[in-house]
Amino acid sequence: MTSDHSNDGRRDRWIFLGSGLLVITAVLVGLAREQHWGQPMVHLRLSGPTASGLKAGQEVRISGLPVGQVQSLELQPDASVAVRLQVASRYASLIGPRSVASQGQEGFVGDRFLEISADPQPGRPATDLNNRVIRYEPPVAIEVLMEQLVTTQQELQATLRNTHKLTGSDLPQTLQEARLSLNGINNLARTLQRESVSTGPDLRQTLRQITRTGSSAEQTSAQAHQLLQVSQPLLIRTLEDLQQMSRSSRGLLENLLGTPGMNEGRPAQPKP
Amino acid sequence: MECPSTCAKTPSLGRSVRHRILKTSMSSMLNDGVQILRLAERDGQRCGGPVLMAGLVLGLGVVNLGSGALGQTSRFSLELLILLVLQLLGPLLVCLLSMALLLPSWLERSQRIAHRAWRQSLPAAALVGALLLLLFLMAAVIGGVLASPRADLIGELRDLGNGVMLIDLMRSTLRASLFLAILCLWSEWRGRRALRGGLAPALVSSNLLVEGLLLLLALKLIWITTIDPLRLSASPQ
Repeated sequence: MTSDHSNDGRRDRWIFLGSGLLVITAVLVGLAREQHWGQPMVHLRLSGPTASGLKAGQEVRISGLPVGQVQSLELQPDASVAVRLQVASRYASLIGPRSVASQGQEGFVGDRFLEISADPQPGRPATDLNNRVIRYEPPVAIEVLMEQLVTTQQELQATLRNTHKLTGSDLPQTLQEARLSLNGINNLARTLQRESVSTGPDLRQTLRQITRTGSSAEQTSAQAHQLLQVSQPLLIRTLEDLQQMSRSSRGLLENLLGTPGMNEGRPAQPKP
Repeated sequence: MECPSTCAKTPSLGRSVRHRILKTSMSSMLNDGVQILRLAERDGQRCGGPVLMAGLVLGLGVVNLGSGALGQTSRFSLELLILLVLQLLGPLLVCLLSMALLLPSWLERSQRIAHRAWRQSLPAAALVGALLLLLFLMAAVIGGVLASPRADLIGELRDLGNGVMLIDLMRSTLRASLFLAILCLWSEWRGRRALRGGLAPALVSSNLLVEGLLLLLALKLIWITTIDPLRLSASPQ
């Protein structure tokens, strides 16, 4: 048990109080540095359906760099969550009307942060942004994502099953039939080749004869046409002569028979 | 130090006496302040080592458990540690350790100085409680960061500093300070009465340890139910 008077004769060292003061100073300096005490800040607001992934003290980043932090979260009467955040005034001009806040995370298991998309507004005073509401895009609910994943997986499994069935039964049969058809086509091609080899010269000769006959017929036709053109006037004249001769012979017969009205060779009826 | 009745009658004499009284009281206050600081230094030196050790062990244990067996991230484990230290068992553990270590000193003072002992030991205990809690917190954080699987220790500390609110720290420090001061007052009052009744100091110490523990739990219960309800977060929402 130490007495109060034990310190009287020796010099005080103040180790505990000194280290305590040092700790207080270090804690205060650390907190001030990390939480940006004394820096001019701009206060922003955003509203989201849930507070999922958000909490006070969370970093706010623009283009991946920390520019502020989330101050507080409050539940509103309409069950939405109002989030207050502060951003250093010197970065306030990077936030504009098209800026959107969304949640981000470092890697798969890293810290979450609030990312604001940049919409630089050069020359605008930082105070204009005070208490401005930023659009917020809540993260995709993991439950919905999982449900969609399960549905997709089921569809994929059904497709795989059908594919397996197809490749297991239908495909071999189809391949066999295709192989048979190809064999048939092959045989046919071989036969055709063989036949064409044997009949080729005869066919070629026949074709040549046909060509020759065709040209002879054409020549004959031209000669006939020419002959017809030459003989046409003579023929007409002959026909006219025949016609004249016929008329003459008819007149002669009428004179001989004494029946001037005889016509068309019809015999005259005997009188009673 | 009482003003004689003549001082009111003779102004020059009264001024001189008042000046002397003021000087004497200032000197006495300064002396008291130095005595309080000396007492706090002595008590702090006595409790500093065990409190630092406890903080270090707690930090290592909680972060190892969190990031190991429970499979949580190192950040979450550190936040859990801060929550435990600031809101759940930091002030309780610091006060319990300090009481166990300082009880003999309090008893000795109450026996030696009697009813005026609290005038120095009470502020000294309050000061020691506040500083010990800060040391405990620092030790726990260092232990936790050392046990964390993340390689970037400074980055981890900086991230942690972002999430700790000053108001939480001050509330917790105030709680430790208040609890230890009340424990000191209770122990000196109960110890003086018990020693005056002829009980052996060892028995008195043993009884006071149990009484102090129960008083501490009662204070904690009162604090978390009425003054500052417990929140399940490292930082206020």
